Amino acid sequence: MVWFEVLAFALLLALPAIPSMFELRKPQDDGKLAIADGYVRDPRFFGTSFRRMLAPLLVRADGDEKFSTQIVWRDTEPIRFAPNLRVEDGERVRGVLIGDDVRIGDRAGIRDAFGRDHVAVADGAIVRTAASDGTLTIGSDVRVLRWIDSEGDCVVGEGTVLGASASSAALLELNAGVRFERAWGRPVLASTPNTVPIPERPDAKRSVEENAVHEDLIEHRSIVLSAGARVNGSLKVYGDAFLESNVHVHGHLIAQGHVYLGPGVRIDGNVFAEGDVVFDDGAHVGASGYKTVYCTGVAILGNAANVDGWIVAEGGGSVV
Amino acid sequence: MDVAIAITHVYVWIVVGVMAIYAVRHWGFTWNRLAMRQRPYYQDLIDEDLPGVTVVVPMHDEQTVASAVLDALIACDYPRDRFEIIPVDDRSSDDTTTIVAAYSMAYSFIKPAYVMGGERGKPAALDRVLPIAEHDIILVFDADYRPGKGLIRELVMGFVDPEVGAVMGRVVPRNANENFLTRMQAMERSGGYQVDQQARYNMNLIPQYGGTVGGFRRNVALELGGFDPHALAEDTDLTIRLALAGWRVGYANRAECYEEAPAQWAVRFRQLRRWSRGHNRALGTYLFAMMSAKALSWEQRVDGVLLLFVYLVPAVLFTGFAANALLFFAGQIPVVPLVAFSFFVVSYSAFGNFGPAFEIAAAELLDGARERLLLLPYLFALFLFNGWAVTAGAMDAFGDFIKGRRAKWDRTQKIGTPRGVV
Repeated sequence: MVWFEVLAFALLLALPAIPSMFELRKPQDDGKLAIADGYVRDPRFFGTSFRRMLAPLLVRADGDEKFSTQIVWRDTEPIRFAPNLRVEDGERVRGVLIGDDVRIGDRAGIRDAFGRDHVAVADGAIVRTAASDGTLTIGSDVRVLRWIDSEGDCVVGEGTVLGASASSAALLELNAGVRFERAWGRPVLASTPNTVPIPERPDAKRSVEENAVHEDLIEHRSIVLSAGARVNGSLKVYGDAFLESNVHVHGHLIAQGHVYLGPGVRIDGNVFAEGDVVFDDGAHVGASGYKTVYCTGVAILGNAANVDGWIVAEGGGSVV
Repeated sequence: MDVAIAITHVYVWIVVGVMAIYAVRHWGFTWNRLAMRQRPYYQDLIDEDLPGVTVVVPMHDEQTVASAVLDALIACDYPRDRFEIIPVDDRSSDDTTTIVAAYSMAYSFIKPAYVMGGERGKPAALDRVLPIAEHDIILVFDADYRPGKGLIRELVMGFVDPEVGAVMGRVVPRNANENFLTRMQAMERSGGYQVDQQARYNMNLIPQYGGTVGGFRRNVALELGGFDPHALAEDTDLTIRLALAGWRVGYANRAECYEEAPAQWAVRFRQLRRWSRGHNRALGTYLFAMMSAKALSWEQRVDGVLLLFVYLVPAVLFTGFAANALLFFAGQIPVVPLVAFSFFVVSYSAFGNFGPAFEIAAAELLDGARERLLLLPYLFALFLFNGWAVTAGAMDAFGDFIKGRRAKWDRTQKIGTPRGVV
């Protein structure tokens, strides 16, 4: 019986390795982990890619003549071109609309729109994507399903939902109640008559008084910077950062908690928060080129809050 | 005789305790990675005002890989006026010198350094570059690495944090499908980075600067005394010195870079042995400083101590097995209660050197693995191999300490992308 026990023991020991042998002999899953080697972070990625896809069509659309065709992307998409392209109120249109001046009527529903001079989307419309090489105007209560992008100024009306990305090479103005995930503009500017709900002042062990001047400031709990305080370097906080009015941080603001930027606060560098970011009226981020505000929570923008660059709000952003 | 038996009993209990601590540590890491809030790195920040960067590529007889790494760096999207590449040619006897010279003629931002004498190896090369580097951020890539287009920018963004003294990206073998050894290394790498490093970053512990696909602040490295040319694990050395001085290491899990994993057992054995020798030297140098470091929280001190001991674990485990066997043949079984004994065996036979099986399984799942999970039982074989190499390295380090000798750098052989590797 001993040989049987030894054999049984050996078999049981080898049991987990038996399925492995099949994978070793005929590998099904032995590829390297895929890395996107060519990937470069680009806040206008959607707009840039869309234009690249449209490029062959735009060559043909270089005149006053209207035409219709179709193109095979993931699905076969009908294409419509007209120099002055109009979608009537309440009309539903499939495919890609291209024109010099594109106007989408009230409560209309379209997929993709591209304008070489201007795109206007009226109130209550539903748009999958909209891009313009000139200006872009989005009305109130519009629902953008994916993204918008413009080379010129872009103004977004009240209560509009902007999808995954809104970007403009120039001004991106967001009015009251606008919701977004990622917003890029030079600058992104909020415009609203409403008042920002001021978060509770943290029970900070450390307060920085008015006119105090510091180099890099690192606080292992929460911090309150009193009105007018100035930090000559960067500010790193392990808890919440509560910056009262007109505080000026010359470097970056890094917080492992929530961030409140009071009225007129200026952050020259980037803002990185592992929580929410609240911009009170006139709070400003960005100097010497574009910067980023990144938060894992929500971003709330008050009137005249502005960021020269990118706002990435993992929990969603909104204008109050 | 009774005293010897009693001492052996105590030793076995100590081994059980050590292994239990490491098992709990890695359970914690795995749980954190699977179920807790993940801490983001800074790669989502884009900033027009980027700092200057010096990329250092230490090279010795790298003709098979030199062009590829330089081409990859040239293709990076970092602004050229804030970017320089210093390939450090350390007395190559093959065509490396010619290749590097040709690239420096073609690109003004490639400024090679030629080492003609003195100590050999990566730490010595880095120490030489520190005073001549033009920029304050230094990134290091081994010659067999292939940085992607946006990688430099992603790594550099970590330095917006004023506490970050070094950053580390994720290493991914590109020749995983070459043979059994490279497949298993790819799994180990997954566990080490996808779970272990990220969890330590999440928990504000001490992620390790790994010496490649990473970088540090030049001024800080200079303030800390530069690099010891005789250190074989200059990455551990820098990680610990930074931590002791109150600096943090930022870990960028999404800043991934391909490497060439050793495909021959002998090459891998020498690599592990060198790592272990250097790491255990760091253990001897920094253990007491780490235990009493005022700049660190108690959690960080514990993590630092466990990090320092990690290359001693296989030796501890093997001697624990030996002590256990001794007690068995001395008629002293049961050595310890059954539960503890099972724990000792099960936990640590699966532990390996670079991550227990459950940690690697979790990492592979996060990476979207499917059939390769079937290979997990073979980790035991790899653990024996790793344990052997690492124990040999630990003995080397002990010998260095006893005899007061200095270690010599031993380069890991690279062959470039072999045929058949996708």
